[in-house]
Amino acid sequence: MKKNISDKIVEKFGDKIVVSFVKVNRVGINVDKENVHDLAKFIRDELNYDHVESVSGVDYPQDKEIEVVYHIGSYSDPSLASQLIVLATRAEREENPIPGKDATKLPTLRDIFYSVEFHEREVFEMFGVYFTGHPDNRRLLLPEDWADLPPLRKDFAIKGR
Amino acid sequence: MTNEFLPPGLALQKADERIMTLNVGPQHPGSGHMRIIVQIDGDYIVACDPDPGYVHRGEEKMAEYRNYITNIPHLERPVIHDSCNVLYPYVLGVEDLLGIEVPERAKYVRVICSELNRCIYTMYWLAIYGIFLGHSTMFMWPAGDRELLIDLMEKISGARVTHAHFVPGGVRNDLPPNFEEVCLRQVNYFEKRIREYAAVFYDNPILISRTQDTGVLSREDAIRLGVTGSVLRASGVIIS
Repeated sequence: MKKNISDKIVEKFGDKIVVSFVKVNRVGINVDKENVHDLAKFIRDELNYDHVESVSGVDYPQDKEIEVVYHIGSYSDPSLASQLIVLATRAEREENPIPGKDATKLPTLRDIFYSVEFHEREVFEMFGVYFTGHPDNRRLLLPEDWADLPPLRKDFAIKGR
Repeated sequence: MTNEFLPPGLALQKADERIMTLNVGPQHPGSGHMRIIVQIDGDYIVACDPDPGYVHRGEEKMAEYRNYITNIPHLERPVIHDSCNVLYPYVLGVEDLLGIEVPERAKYVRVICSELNRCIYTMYWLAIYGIFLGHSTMFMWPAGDRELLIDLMEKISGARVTHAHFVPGGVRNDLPPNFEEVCLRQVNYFEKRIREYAAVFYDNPILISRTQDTGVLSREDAIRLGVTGSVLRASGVIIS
């Protein structure tokens, strides 16, 4: 079953994607930002996954990249109830970020999975990844007057530590 | 200045003669401070914009500065009433990274703790829900009965609410000697008690008339929005 899911994706996308791991109930897929939108559409329409459970960011200063990870699950297909697809894609990382106005950009998946709306807003303010096409890229959790680095980047240090 | 990146409530808007914008909060509408900016047309809410940042604790950043063990007490804080279950995925993740095998007995103890904690949380929810509906009996009963379950958890972990009981590799300490007997007594009490709850609350015509067809979230919307837990079940998706 799990093997089937990754096989189907490999069959369709070939060398555009990398299957990073296949575990019990988990399939990890790495994809570049040009193909993430098509892949997400394929996962929704052909594989019956219907919602994103979480969107998280991972900062890789040594690679000069920020990874955004989508955990995609399914409610409507009972055979996929405990299955998750872990879809990871990477954006360029700038040393001196200007959130929203630098090269750290990814296409949004909000038009495919509606539930990413608030999660992508959080990733935007915490990591500075701007989601192109997202209808609402305002801040969500940070204070109104925040003027520092995006706080979950590794080079942001808590004062006095 | 453009409105694009301004936080909720600060963006400038055109005045409208029908629509009024109201700031609800930041106060305590249920649990945790939160502001909701609502736009109302008479009695109807036409748009709403939540601003939940007041409860953000920065747990992820704090976790970067601590080691695996010292993360445990603060990671259970975001969901105080269900501290075992909110810690469980973290502990499993650390075990997975370190390749630790957990003893069989510890797995059983964890499941017992998680289930007791889930009941504690449900009792708390039921009490708050009862008082929100103006049903003070349904506040008093679950809030009182919850103490019995809290006593059980206190017997196990030594702490009433935030247990910090799960550690990578197992649990902090074993069950006390007479635990089985006390636990069964409490569980049997609840079996009887649930019927009284049903009589006074769930089957109460006043409750039904107040909640039926109110705030309906359709099955399609619930799936599309990625809703979880009992809200999802209430929308007709039988997954927890």
